[in-house]
Amino acid sequence: MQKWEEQIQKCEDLEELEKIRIELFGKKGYFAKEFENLKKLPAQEKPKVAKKLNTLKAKLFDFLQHKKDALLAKAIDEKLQKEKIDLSLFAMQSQKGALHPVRYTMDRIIEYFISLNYAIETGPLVEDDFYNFEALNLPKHHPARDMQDTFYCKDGKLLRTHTSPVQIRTMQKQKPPIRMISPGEVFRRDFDLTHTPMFHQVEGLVVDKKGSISFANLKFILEDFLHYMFGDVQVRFRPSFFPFTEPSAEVDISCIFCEGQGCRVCSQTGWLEVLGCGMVDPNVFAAVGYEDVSGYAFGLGVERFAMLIHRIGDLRSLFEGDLRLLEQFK
Amino acid sequence: MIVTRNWLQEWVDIADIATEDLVNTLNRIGFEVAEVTKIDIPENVVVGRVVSCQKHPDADKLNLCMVEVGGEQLQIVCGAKNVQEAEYVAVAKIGAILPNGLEIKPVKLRGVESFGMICSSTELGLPELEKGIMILDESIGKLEVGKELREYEALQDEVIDIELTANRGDCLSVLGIARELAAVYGKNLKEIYFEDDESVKIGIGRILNIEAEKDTEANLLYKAFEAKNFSNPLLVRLRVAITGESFANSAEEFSYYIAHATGVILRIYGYRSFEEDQPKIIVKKDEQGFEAVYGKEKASIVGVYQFDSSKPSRNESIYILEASYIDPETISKKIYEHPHKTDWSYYRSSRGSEPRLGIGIDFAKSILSSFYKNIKLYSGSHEIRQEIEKPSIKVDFEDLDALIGFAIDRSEVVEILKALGFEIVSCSEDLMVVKAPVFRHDIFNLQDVAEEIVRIFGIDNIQAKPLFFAEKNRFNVAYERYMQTRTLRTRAVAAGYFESVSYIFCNSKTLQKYGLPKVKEDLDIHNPITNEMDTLRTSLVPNLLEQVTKNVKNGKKRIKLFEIGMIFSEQREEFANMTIIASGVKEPENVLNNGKPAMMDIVSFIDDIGRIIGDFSLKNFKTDIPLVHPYQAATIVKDDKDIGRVYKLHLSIQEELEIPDTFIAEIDLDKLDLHYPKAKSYSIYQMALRDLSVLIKKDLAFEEINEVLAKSVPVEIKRFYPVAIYEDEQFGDKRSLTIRFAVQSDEKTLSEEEIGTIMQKVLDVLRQEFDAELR
Repeated sequence: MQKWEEQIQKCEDLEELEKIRIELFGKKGYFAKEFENLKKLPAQEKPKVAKKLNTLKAKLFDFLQHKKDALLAKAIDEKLQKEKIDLSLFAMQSQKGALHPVRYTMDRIIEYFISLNYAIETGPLVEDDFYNFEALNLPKHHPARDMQDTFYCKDGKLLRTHTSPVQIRTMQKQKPPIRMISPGEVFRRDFDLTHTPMFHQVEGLVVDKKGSISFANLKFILEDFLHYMFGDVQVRFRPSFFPFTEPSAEVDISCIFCEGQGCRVCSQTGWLEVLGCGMVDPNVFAAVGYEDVSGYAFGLGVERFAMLIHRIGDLRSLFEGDLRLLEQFK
Repeated sequence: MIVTRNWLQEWVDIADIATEDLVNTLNRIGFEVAEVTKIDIPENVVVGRVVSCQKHPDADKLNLCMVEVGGEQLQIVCGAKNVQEAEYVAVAKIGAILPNGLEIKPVKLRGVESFGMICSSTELGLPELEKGIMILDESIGKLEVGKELREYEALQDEVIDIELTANRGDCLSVLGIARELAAVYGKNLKEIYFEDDESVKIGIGRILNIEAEKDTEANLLYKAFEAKNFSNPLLVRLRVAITGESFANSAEEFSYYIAHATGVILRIYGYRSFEEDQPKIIVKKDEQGFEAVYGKEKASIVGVYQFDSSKPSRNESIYILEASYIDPETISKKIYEHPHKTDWSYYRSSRGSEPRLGIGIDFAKSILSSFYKNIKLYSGSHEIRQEIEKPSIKVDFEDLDALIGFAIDRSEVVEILKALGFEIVSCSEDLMVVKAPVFRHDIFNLQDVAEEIVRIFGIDNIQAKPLFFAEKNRFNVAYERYMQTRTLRTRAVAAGYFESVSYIFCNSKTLQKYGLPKVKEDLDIHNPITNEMDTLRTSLVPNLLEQVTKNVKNGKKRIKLFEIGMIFSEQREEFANMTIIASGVKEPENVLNNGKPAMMDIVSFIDDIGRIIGDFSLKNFKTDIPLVHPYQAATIVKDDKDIGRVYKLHLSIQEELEIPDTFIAEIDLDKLDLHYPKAKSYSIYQMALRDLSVLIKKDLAFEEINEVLAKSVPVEIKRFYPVAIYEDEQFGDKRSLTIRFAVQSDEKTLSEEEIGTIMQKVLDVLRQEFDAELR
């Protein structure tokens, strides 16, 4: 008995253990023989010896099984150890690309307005003077119409300077109630540190019957929108002037960099201008033949939003496909 | 528009209002304050009087001055040419620290000691006024020798720069801004009173007559004065300089000052510019229809330009003062039709200057008689005047409330309008009729009036309200388009590409070099911003290639970009396009590739395209476009439509740009439709795969084999695709091609024998059509 236990104990190999098992419990093994011998014993001794033998068998079987489990576990463990890999070697940059921060910001803006059931409308980039200026209450001699700012084509058409012509086209095609945004590229003939000849705008327009849409409604939606985009900021409306809205306002948010204390980004004012808006001017409605309606409109520059939200310092870098910038958005 | 606190104070009492409060109020009522800057003369700079002034014994360009500074005389060496005995000057005493950081200490200049510095305006942090030192006069206050300069209010001021909107021509003056402040703070606007000096006996009619056409569209008011050596006092010059203007002619500088203060456009003519014999002012339309003023010759165009010849010369003795007004819309239309050179006056006249000409003339007279020496005013005036009639505007209170979305108290509405100078023609319970003041050129209808009320009442005081709206489904083509684009962008990003945005312009020479089309000359951009961007792009490729090149220069090894944007056809039609470009290595450097990743190749690139647009097939195309590799180029076919092309960049362009192997795919988004497909029934029986290796002509493109097999193989061939090619000299002009066939019946599991028969039929087709032989 002692001998067997020692043997099992010493065994460090599953194959060896299997041999011991056969020696003990095999058809020709130790216990098979012992039970065979049992037959030769006198009848009254048989139960006693058999019981003893069974106890021993069970004990050794347990012992062997235990050992086997231990060896199996050890074998798995060894296998696992062999498969060891230093995964920290692979904590590297992913192979994924990234959306452009301006287009991503535009997506976020569009999502907000889609969730409020605004339709998306689009229009051509090469526009007529009528849609870009005239219908928007900007007659040819208007001082706010800076000729220097516009790209003209040789046939007298122009590259749209804002997304507002889409308002006119949509109003011509549809009937109120209208609720739309028009995201897209716009062009101004200006190229320096803070201006690029192309940038992106999102324009909004809501029109319904006269008396149903108020300045208070405009204020509500823009406050809510700016909180969605910038989080917990203060929103300030300043009366301003746009030829196509009356009353008009510019909208500021409290500076997200200095929280209104005054810093370089907000020119020490504590405020950042982010939006222009107003009640649609009656002359604009007249240009599309609408009567007895009311409405509001607003417009924003997407680059400005993107630069503020994603802390991008240089406007021009947005148009250079520079991976040093783009890779940061993975 | 630039104003200062002290300048405003001349029109409205704002002494009790802090500048910060003032700025907030201006912003709140629609005048965006861009900047506030302090004029702050340093300490220890005092009024001094030059007692004597001699040449420095040892230096030609230096003067040796004795300057009285109150209780003492200082010896100061001064380099300015305009230093003179008896002049009052600004003296920085020992210990003064000037804005540029210079600390005044006793110094020896060419052996002579100097105990201070006589300052120029710029040395004190003021704008440049003249070459040399700043000569003081009593326009800034009584000059007391030794008094700190910073104690003079005119030199201790805050400059407020307002970004004025184009509709508020009435606020292009200190008076205009003051009027707004008076309205919002409930204060009185100071009036200007001036009475002719009783001692003046000569009337203007004695020296000058006026002759005007009947239908003159301008308002004009003339006055005359005599002066000797007309020059402007310090305060006038300083304020003009603060507004950022400068004038060579003192009389013009003066008229600009009056215009900036009151909003009335003023001009001054030299008397010599009128005929000696029966001098008269002639007002008539010129050849282009502008209202013009003539003396001997054309003197000015009203609201547009004054000709130099009519400006008073230095030794002029009689000055003719003219205040003018012309309707802003009339003059801006005119200038649009007949562009003409303009001076400072046009900016004001086109936005609407002050039509009450008397204000400007009276203010000019009061300034002349308080600060100028030897001025003699002629009595009386000449005037051409048209009444300016403002329209009556009906204000229905119910409409007003609905527009604003908030009911503002009726009496408050009336008060606001009165304070802004509106005339209340009538007012009942529901309806009010108002007229805008003559100086407001931007008020025509209810919404304009509403803006005035909202402005002064304060947008902050209007409670925001949600809008209730009749809903309908707003999905449309643009929405579908947007969502499809978004899907493509997201997939491209997942495939490792970075989204890029570039300008809609490109260079016409580059287009030509690449063999890309160009927008027809007569439809192209007329006024490009740079030569590099002189045409509308007809492809996204040139800009993307430029970006790849820049990234290579920046040391980037793996460049994968895409752009979705509009491109133009030769006829300038707009098409949405997606271009994908990959250059350099295939994957990032890492341990697995020993830091040496393989270069991108056309097969990996095509695999990437599949990740973005889904299944497609390719048809080789031969091309001689300089941009495209002639032997690695294919048309992308999806849903039986040619939707774009994929190719390797031509090696000669690659070499010229000094970039690694580059692959490009251009996809026409108007033809791409990422619909979610319909399911087809599929066989439930076992599918067998069988490879067939044949020797087949080398130059035979797989697409040709593909086309024939697709038409002629038995229906049990569900799919087939190439899996290996092998070339060897022993094959001659053939190569080995292995095609894998998926064989499956819709009705039963096929036996080996049946499969064998089917494959034999396939082989027969290949033999007959392409002279293929089993390998």
